[in-house]
Amino acid sequence: MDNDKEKQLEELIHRELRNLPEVAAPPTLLHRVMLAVHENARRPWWVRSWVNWPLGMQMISLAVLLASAGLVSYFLGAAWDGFNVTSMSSRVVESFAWLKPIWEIVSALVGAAAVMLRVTGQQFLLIGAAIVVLAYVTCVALGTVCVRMAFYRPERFK
Amino acid sequence: MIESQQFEAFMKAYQNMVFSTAVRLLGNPAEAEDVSQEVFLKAYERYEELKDSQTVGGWLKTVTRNLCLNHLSRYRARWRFFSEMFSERDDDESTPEWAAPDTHEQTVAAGDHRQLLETALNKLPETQRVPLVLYHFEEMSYEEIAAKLRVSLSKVKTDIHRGREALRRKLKLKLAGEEEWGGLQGAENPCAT
Repeated sequence: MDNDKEKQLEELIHRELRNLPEVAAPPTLLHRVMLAVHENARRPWWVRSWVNWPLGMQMISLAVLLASAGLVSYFLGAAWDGFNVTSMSSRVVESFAWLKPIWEIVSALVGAAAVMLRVTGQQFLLIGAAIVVLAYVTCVALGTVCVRMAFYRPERFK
Repeated sequence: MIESQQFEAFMKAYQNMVFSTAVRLLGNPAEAEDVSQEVFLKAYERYEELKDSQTVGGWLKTVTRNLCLNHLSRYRARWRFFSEMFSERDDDESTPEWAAPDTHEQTVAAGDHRQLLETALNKLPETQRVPLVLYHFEEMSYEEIAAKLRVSLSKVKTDIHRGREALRRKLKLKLAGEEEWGGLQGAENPCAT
């Protein structure tokens, strides 16, 4: 379509659309809003958002918040000053000593797998990788189909 | 404390405007009512400053538009991965469906051409309806629409053009120089076959 026709079309549609009157709101809207307003008004102040709290409570809560932040900063600073890195790290290592046998078993298994791969070549590795990729793609495809079937809402796209 | 009656009067004055904006953007009266409710609850929270404001209409329209676009973007985000190809194909190949012939004839018999236009607008695909409404009702530029919807400028222009063409076809509106005139101004019953 050339520019002239395009302009005509724009003006024609604009005129038609701007001549449309407002759509009447459903009569239930006013009732719904007023009901929600009354319900909100009945809620106690502490379950409303902070900006709607009474001014006094806002001030008190702000003071409490600042005091809490100050206390946390103070105690964190004090804890950091008394923190000994060497003793802490040795304590951590000691607490995980029970994992040592498991680590040895895992190391042995990984070593055995590496030896096996060297012996049998890289074919198994490639086949294994292909199977993993295929399984992943299958999962994505099945998931896509399931979601589309479950949530498809045809009226949106017609 | 806000007087309920005052706020009711305020709502009655603006509810049609808010609902019209919402229903045209969303194309769904139930969702439009939900969004309108949200708009008026926000207005209630700021009623003290809004009630005497000269720009309250603009404020309501802006809030409605933003809430609708947020609503749509949440919906689009949920659907983009699974359905975008499907919806794009629909946009390209199909035009909005008309109501069944009996409903259509009843509407025409009632002589309500505006209702036909409103229906046709609501039945446009979202990708065409939303930019069309933003352009013609909200008076946003193509660039503003592209930025707001986070799509390219060319897509906005194409979608708006397709939307206009779809409305023109469905309402049998004719441009100057075309063989015959019909449409809302030129025919008693523009959609009769």
